[in-house]
Amino acid sequence: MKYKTRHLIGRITMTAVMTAFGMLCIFPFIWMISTSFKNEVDVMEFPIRIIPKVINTGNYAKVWFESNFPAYYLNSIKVTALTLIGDVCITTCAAYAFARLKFRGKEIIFASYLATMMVPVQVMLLPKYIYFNWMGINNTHWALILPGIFNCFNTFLMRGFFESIPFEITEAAKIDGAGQFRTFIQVVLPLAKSGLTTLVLFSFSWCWNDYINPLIFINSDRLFTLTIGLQRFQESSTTHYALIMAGATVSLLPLIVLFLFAQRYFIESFANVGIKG
Amino acid sequence: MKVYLSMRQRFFSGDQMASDRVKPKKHKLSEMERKEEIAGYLFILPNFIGILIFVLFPTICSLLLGFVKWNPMQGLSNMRFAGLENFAGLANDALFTTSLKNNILFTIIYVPFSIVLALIVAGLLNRYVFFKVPIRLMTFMPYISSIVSVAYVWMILYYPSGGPINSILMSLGVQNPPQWLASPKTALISIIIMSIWHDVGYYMIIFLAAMQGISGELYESAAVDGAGGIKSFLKITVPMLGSNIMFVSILATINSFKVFDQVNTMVTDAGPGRSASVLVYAIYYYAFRKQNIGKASAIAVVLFLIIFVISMVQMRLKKKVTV
Repeated sequence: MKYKTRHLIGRITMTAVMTAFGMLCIFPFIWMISTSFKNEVDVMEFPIRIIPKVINTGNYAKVWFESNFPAYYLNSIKVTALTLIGDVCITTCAAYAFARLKFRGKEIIFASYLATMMVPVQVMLLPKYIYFNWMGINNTHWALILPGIFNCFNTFLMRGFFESIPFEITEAAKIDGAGQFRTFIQVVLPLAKSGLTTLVLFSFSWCWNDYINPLIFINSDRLFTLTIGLQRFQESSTTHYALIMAGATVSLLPLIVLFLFAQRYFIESFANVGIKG
Repeated sequence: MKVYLSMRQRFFSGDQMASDRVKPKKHKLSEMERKEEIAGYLFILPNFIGILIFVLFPTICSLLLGFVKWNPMQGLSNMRFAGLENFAGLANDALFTTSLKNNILFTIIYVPFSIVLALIVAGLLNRYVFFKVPIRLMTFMPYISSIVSVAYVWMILYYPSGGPINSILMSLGVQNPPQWLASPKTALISIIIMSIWHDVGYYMIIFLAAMQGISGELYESAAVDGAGGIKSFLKITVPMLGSNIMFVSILATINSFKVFDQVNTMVTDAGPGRSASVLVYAIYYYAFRKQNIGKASAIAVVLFLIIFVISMVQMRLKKKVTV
């Protein structure tokens, strides 16, 4: 009994401590939203007022109607959607073959995939820029979409998921006369749902948040995605902090809302990536 | 489990089928195997072509580019082999040496702090806390958000005179709070703190997922033997997570060498006196601001080598763990 009460008190204290830690983690977000509704003169007020004296929605009106944010939004949606569709179709096919089919040269090809994974994007910026320039896709969204679709890490990740499906199941499909493509679509894919969710959520947030690629490959304002758009917006609004916070809120909102609704899947997916990758 | 699966795989796959055992001809494939092989090639074809064009080719180029002298405006014929010439100037290059030093400093601070913090948070969340789900969500939220957006929030939080962080510090009695991003002494550390805040939730959920695999009986028997919370954390949780901790450390080390987004957004021109410059920033600067291809490529090769060595260590350790 005594042990139990001590245990309970310990748990309650720890819950309080961890809640405080959690609040500390989201404090920048709360502060960002609160500041985005403030008048410029109140931004640096102290003690910090989380609920502003006067709610000012003018910053949002400015972000939405007097800047290119709507265009940045559309660009981000377009790039992310096309990348995701291509990625899911092409990567899962290849990963299926690497995981479950026998063909000559498989090991060598896969080893070369693994080898390229050791070369980070950051190292390839310049040759890619020269090369994309030569291909004529610099300053188009293709410079972001195509490299996003063909991704060694995602192939590697999905191969792991497909390998973990018992081989008896596909053998049974084969005996029933199903071709490889039907086996893949109707038998293997439905069994790899958690793998697919992982692929989609991971690629989605990676693509949506990508900064370095659009920074280098895109240079006209009408093609900017949200991350670069926000940077240009920040540079042009100098010390209008409340306005910048409204821009930051607008750029973060879609992912945060999606995350709040599907947090279980997000967290599972990212843990999967961390453990398998 | 893995062994079992691969035995199954061998048992069921074509080359062990009865027809083959009768006629063990190595290079003549059965009808079924031939079909499977064609299917295999068709399945990987789109992906393989894309990877060839967008990944393999630029990868090879990026490594070769470090060893040539070339102006891309003048076409391919103008390219000539330069040996190690590009690397010779690096040792005296202030931006490169500062960046390398900063990257190492970044790793030394970022990796242990974020991993210990992630371990403690995961350990507490795993066993000692009510409302685990909302707290986990709050801790993970920074990681999901784009660095660029949160960088601007932190930029204002760090504002030296009147910014929230310094206002709080001063109300707590700190006389001369740091200048954060505005001072060459603290710019890098400010970026490191923000990076730890951004990433700790990610490392935490990896640990948490791994901790869920540890049997509760272990903790129960430890409790019967009189082990307290801290003791069972140190003697059960940490050793059981050994391989996970190792891999997350390597992942964090690689991440800290790839850092760029926060450096290019939170401070202009890599901070006062370029005090917060990192290797990727140096590559970016030489390649796209100075059009100095030789230098940019040489730094890229150095960065590649660093990450390559870390990845090799990781592969070695992985082999040891799985075998």
